[in-house]
Amino acid sequence: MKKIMLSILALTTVGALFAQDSAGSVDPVSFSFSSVSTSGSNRAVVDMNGDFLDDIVSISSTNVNILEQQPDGTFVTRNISTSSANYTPSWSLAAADYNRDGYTDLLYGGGSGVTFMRSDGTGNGFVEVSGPEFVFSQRSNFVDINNDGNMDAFVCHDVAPNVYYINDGTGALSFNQGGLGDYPSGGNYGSVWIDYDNDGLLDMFIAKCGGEVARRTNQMHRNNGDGTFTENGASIGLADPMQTWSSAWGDFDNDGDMDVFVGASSGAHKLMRNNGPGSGYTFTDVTAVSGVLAVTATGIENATHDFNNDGFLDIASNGNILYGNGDLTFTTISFGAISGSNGAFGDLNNDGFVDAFNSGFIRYNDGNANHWLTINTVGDPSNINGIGARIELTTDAGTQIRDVRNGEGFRFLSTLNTHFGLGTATNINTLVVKWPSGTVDTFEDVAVDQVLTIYEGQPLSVEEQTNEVALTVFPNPATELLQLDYRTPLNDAQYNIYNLNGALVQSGTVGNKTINVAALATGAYVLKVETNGAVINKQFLKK
Amino acid sequence: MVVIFAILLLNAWEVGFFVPFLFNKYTNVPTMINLLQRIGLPCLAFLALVACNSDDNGYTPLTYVAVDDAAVVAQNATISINVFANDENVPQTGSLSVSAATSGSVNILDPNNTPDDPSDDLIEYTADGFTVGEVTFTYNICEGGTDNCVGATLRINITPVSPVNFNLEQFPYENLSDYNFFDGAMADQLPVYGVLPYKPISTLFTDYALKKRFIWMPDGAQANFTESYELLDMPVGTILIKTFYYDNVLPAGTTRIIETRLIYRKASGWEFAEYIWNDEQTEASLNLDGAFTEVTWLQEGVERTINYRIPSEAECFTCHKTQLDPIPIGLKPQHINSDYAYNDGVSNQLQKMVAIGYLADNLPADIQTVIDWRDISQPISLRMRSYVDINCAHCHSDDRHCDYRPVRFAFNETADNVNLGVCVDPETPIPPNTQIVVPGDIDTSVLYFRVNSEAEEYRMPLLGRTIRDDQAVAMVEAWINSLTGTCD
Repeated sequence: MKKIMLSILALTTVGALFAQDSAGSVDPVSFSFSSVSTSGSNRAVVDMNGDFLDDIVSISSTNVNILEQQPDGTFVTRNISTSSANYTPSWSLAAADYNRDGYTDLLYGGGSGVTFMRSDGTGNGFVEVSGPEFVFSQRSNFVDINNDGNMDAFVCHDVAPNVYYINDGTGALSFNQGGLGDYPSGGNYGSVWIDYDNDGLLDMFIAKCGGEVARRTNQMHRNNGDGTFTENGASIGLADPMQTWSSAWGDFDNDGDMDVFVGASSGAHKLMRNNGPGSGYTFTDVTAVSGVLAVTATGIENATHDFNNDGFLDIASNGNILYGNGDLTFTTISFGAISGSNGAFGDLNNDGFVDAFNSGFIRYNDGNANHWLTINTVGDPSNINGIGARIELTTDAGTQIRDVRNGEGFRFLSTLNTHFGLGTATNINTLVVKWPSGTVDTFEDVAVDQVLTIYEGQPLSVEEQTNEVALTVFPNPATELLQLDYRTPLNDAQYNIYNLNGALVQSGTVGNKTINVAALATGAYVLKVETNGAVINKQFLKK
Repeated sequence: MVVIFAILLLNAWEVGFFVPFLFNKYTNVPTMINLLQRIGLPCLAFLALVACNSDDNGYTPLTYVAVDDAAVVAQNATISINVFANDENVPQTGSLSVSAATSGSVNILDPNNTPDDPSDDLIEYTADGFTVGEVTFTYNICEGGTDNCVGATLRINITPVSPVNFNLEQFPYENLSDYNFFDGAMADQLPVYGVLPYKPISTLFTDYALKKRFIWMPDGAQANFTESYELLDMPVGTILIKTFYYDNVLPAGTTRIIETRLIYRKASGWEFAEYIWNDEQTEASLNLDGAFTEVTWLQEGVERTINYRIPSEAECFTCHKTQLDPIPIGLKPQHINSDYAYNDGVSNQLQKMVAIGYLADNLPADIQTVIDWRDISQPISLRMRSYVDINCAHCHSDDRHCDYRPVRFAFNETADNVNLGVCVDPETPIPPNTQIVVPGDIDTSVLYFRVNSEAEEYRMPLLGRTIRDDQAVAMVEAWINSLTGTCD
């Protein structure tokens, strides 16, 4: 049945979708294209105004163009004019609330320098901060480098040692160069901050490219916990002189540590398994048996998400999606599933499935029946976006981990939220957030299919904590059509309607979140919807 | 034997004809070998005439044959000359004598302390500070006393001392004027003696900036040819000077000099210096941090404004490098094997360098040379190859900034269209482009897209321009349209 549904969806999808499903164990999702009107360079999918709904951000030298996502999934265009930026985000954009005013700030990584657009506290304006220093920017990230609770920024330098900006706590940034990748002629393309050795501290991996072997050998900068870093790529097996501009990190085999797909910009991709604590978190090349070599196309954009919410992380590599089997193998590949440069990722209709955006097109993830959880992290005393927090989620199927990240892939900035696909699980047994400050928040029996906002050190609301799935129906009383509002589309869900005497009076499948109740007599009824093993009861009136 | 010899001599004579005088501003003892190479060839030509004539007359090779010599020395400088290097059958007994020399002093040196053997002696000349021009004197070897003397003439060209303030250990100086590269008002860019202008045949486009280029070498130092497509092997102390300016700068339509870039060679390698000119156009100050400055000017009658980028040291290095070593770009024989209108007349640039002692006279007869890509009378393929060589090859070559992309743009590598990207898949796809170059289709050729783009993340070249070079874009289009066939 699901296969048929997917086929129909594929027919309605604009663009190419070539799924190889040799193993048959993983079902890909399809994407529906939707054109939106933007002005400037399309750069980000990120919440700009603090409502935790991902917005679409495009930049020109004097304007920040924002398509603000509304609760109903539509967009409202806002243009916030700026001073003429000294540098524009031609090479990369990063976004986070580094001045802690509740509005997202921007970093423009330009070819000759770095501009910060700092929100002015009103949500209606930005103050430009541009340094005089020459920086041939590549990937940029907002991250609390010295773990003092204030958001800092890091920028890869193409032709010189990397640079970073330390936040003094007032939102003032000081320029630094040295100590985080100092090869004299650079070669730094894709930085990503992850905790590869599970010590609670963010480390930085740099995908490198170009020139002599020493220049292009990938680096890992292990966080020493005292504000310094030690480059140890060679000792853990990641000092590879392949040519790469970005990498996709994730626990692809759900064994509790971060593995990495290093996407080639020239040559062959690499998949490296983290051998875990027993080995001192060294890495082993598992490329040959992983299936990733089926993707021979190279490029500069690689990122990790669970696109089909099956609980196994997938890889987006230059527009191709490699669906993970959960064991570091990838046998289902959708070639050309999304834009060839991936674009920015986020949830642009708040349905719990990861969408993509680039070149004026939203690629809406058409979803499936799998469950999910999306988390917004708000830190205090940790950095306000919770970047660097380690999240551990356990269902009956096992434990998944995520690091809250900023700046994956090469050019774009993707959502600051953290997304989990949960497969058929309908209960989250435990959810643990390990904040950069050291605070650990633990929650039990968390509901699936919801967006959680977790404030550091605070409990969840009753509604979030209890595993009650909210189903609303309207109009109530209904006359002909009963609309269902639920977190998933409910396509093909079985329903039964009982009168108050317990007699079954109507049954069928939900179509388009709608049930025709015209045939029912006036009175009160109970609707029972069964979706993926869960049964939801809801009372309604027929007029 | 005789025939072969005559051909060799004829060739030598032709070269000698083109270079009737070989100059060197000044040569110290350590560079004597170079000097000998330089003076050897025309003297061989002289020998050729003698030998050809003598052959028919029963010439006896064991007779000492002395051949005239020439050398170049700066005022107040000393040069040591092995006058016997081009002589034949130099006797190992006898005494060497020299005639009185004007405008300086002459000595005979016996470095090996062999007073009875003149064949290893050297003649040392020290020019005084009063004369510029040629002085001549003779040297002779006599069998005993003054009997049976045989000798030849030694011509020495005394040149001015280059007034460039050369103290390599103090480089870079704070101000451009500290080097004393220019006579009079510095903005006039009139070079002092020894600061030699040059111009590559095809040039790099940098937002329409005009350029003046000069090369300077210390007294007694000179470069060597290695390959047509390789940089001249330039000696320690070499300075390349490049001034960037615009004419017709608005509102007054004046000339504005923006910056002067230096790359100079120390014993440890090449280094950069960057001088930004003041508004008064009287001085330029050292600044390697990079900067922007707005320029509005008339380009072929059309007003244009750009935010001109003055490069930082790291930007200089991005293009001027091989691995971790800074290098020049435009001083390859293939780039300067062309005429230039010097103040004292038109000359081939390489020959001019030889003439003033900046380049050893060991140039091959055939130098593979680029053309000026703007010359529409040239074949389109040659224009394209010459364009990408000077605009692209500094990154798209081994050990350079973008060596990992599947194109090779150096002139000596582009006879093969594959190196130009024809029907080559790009490693970073940019839809709707399909290959780097698709014959006959600019709309799907990445190369065209990039030379036509002004977006910082797409444009090529990556550095040095913010606007497109319309003339180059049109040439690239014509080249792509000249290609036939289809890609597999």
